[in-house]
Amino acid sequence: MTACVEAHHLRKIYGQGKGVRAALDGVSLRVSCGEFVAVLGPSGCGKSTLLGIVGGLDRQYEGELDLFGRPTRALKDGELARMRGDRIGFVFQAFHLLGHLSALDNVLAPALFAQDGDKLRARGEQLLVEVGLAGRGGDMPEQMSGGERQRVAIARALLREPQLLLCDEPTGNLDLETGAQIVEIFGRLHRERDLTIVAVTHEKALAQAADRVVNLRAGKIVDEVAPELS
Amino acid sequence: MNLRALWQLIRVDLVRARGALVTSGFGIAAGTAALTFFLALGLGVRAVLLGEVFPIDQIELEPPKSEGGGIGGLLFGAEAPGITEDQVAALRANEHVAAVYPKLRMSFPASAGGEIFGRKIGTSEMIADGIDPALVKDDVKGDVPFEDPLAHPGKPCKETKECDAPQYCEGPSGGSGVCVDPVPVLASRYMIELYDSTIAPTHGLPPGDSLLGLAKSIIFRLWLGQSLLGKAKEGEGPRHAHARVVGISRAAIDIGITLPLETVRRWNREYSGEAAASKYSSVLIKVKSNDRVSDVIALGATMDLQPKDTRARDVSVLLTGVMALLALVAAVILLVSASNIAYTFRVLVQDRRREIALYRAIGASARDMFKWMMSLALTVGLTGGAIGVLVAWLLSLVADWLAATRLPDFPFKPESFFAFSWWLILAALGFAALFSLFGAFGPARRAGKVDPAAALATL
Repeated sequence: MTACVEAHHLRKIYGQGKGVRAALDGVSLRVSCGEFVAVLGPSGCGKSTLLGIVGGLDRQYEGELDLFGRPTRALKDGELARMRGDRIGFVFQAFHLLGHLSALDNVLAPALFAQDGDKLRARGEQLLVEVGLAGRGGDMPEQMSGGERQRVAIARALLREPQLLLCDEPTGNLDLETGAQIVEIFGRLHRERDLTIVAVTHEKALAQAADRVVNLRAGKIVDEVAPELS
Repeated sequence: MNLRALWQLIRVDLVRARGALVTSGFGIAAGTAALTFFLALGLGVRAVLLGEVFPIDQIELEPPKSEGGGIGGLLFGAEAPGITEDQVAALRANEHVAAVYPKLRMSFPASAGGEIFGRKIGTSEMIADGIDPALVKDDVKGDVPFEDPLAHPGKPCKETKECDAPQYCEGPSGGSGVCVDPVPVLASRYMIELYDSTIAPTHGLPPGDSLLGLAKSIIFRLWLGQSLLGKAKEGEGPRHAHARVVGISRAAIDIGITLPLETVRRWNREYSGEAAASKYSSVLIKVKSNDRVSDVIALGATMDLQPKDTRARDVSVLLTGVMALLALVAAVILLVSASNIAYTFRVLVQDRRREIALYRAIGASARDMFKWMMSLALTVGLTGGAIGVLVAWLLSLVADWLAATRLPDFPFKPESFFAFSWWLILAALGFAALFSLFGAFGPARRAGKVDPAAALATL
C-alpha cells in the first residue's frame, strides 16, 4: 500500500549544552494511505513534536521524512505550505479557533490560501452539518462548548478534502462523553472517506478506534500493537 | 494567497485592530500632511517667484556696466553697449540654448505721459527696451500686432492731425512722415503691480489687468529726443510718437516700457547714430534645462558678457534650502511615525503568534504572512497618506483664505500660495507608503518566521 507518511530516524533536540534533551530519538514510522494510526504515550514523550514534524510545521530536525512519496527536505517553504493546505488537515487539543470569526468563517479559513477558495463556502456549510452543527455557522467560538469548538476545528480540517488528518490530543480538553463523540466522528471519517489519520493521544479510548497503535516513550517508539492490545 | 484573500484578511484586521492602526495611521497622516503642506507651499511660492518675479529658465546677459552702461549713457547716448550679431549667433549655436532674443535699449532721452480715461497721470522720464517680437508673441492681447508700426505705413503726412485717429504721423521732426498706428507697448508684471498699488488707487483708476481688456483705448504720448534731463545729441529735434499698451509680459523691462526691436533700432539710429542701432544692449537667453543655466553663463563669460540679474538663482537656492529644511522636518515626523508603526506591528505579530501559526498549518507560507503584514502596513500608510494630503489641502485653503483676507496687498500677491501637482500628491502617498512599509518590515519578517509548531503547542 502507498505510504502517506514515511519517516526515518527522526531526531529532535531541544536545548543546548548540559540542558540538551531529545524530544525524538530516532523515530521511524510508516503510515500507509487509508490507515488510522494512534500514537500513544504519556505527556512529554514527544508525541506533539512528532506530529509537528510529520505535518511539515517543524523543519528543524534530523532524519528523513517523505510525505505522499516526496522528500520534504527538498521542498521549499511555499511548496510545503501548499502541500499542507492541499493534502493535510490538523486538529489540535486547544482547537485553535479564531475568536474574531464565526464558526463558518473558521471552517472557511483554509480557503484563504487555496486557489479555488471562493468555491468552498457551500462545502464549509455542508461540513458543519456533517459534524452536527447545522444552523450554528453564525455562532462565535465563545458561544460554543468545547465539543462544539472541536467539531468546528474538524470541519475546518476537512474543508479542502485532505488525504491526511493529523490530530494532536483531539479529545484532551473534552469530557468523556464529548470525547467519545469526537472519536466516533474520526472513526466515521476513516471508514466512510478512507481518510488517513494519525492521532497522538494519551487516552486509550481514542487509540481503540485506530487500526494500529504506536507506543512512544521518551522520544522512542517502544512497540506497535493492535488497538485491543494497547 | 491571492489579492482577494489578502484583502479579506486586511479588512478584518482594520476592524479588529482599529485602535492601534488608527494611532499608527495618525502619525503617517500628520507626517504626510506636513510634507505635502510644506512642499506645496514651497512650490507655490517658487512658482510665483521664479515664474513671474525672477524667471529661472532664462538668463539675460549684458556687457559689463562700464561699457556704455549707466544712466548717463542711457539718457544721453554714450557709446552704445555692444553685443554684436556674431555674438548672438554664437550663443544661438550653443547646445544648451533654446532661443536667444536680443534686446536694444533706447539710448536717447525721451519722456512719456498723457491721460488714461481723462485723468492726467503726469509726465516722466522714459526708459525703454526694444525686444524681439517672437519672444512675446503669446503675451499680446487682442488683434494688435507687436511690431514696428512702419511695417504697415499709411498715407504720407507732416503732422498727426492729417492722420485718422488713432494713427499719428511718424517721421523726423519737421520732415515728411507716414501715418501709422500707435507703437505697441508691453508692460511688465512688476509695472502693473506698481500701478495697482500706487497710480490706480491715487487716480481712482481700475486695476492694471482690467485695463488690458481696454488696451486699444489706452494711448499715451512719447516725447522723443528730449526729456526733463536734456536733449539728444543727434536727430532733427524732439518729436512726438503715440504708443498703446497691448499686453503684460515676463520679458518686459521691470521699470519702463518695452517696444518692438525694430522701432527702437530705428529711433536709436535717428537720435544716437548707427552704433546704437546695430549693437544690442543685452540678450535674453532661454535655456533648455534649468540646470544648464550656469553653462550658458560660463559661455557668456567667454564673450565678456555677464548676467544682468542673479536674483533668480539666489532665490532658487534660498527656496530650495528652505523647502529641503521643511521637508526634513516632515521626514522626521514620518520617521517617528514609522517607528510607531514598527512598534504597533511588533505587538500585533506577538499577539497573533498562534493565529499566524494556525494560518501556516492550514496552508499559508512564510511569504504569505510577510505579505499579509506588509499589505496591512501599506493600507495603513496609503490611508494615512491620503488623509494627510487631504488635511494639507484643507489647511492650504485656510491659509490662502487668511492671506487673502488678513494680509495687505503687495506686489505679486498670488491667489494661492500653494501648488498641488499630481506628482506631489503621488510622491506624498509614496512616502507615506514607504515609511509605513519601512516600519512594518521587521515585524513582517518576524511574522514569516513564527515557528508554527512551537506556537501551536502552547495551550
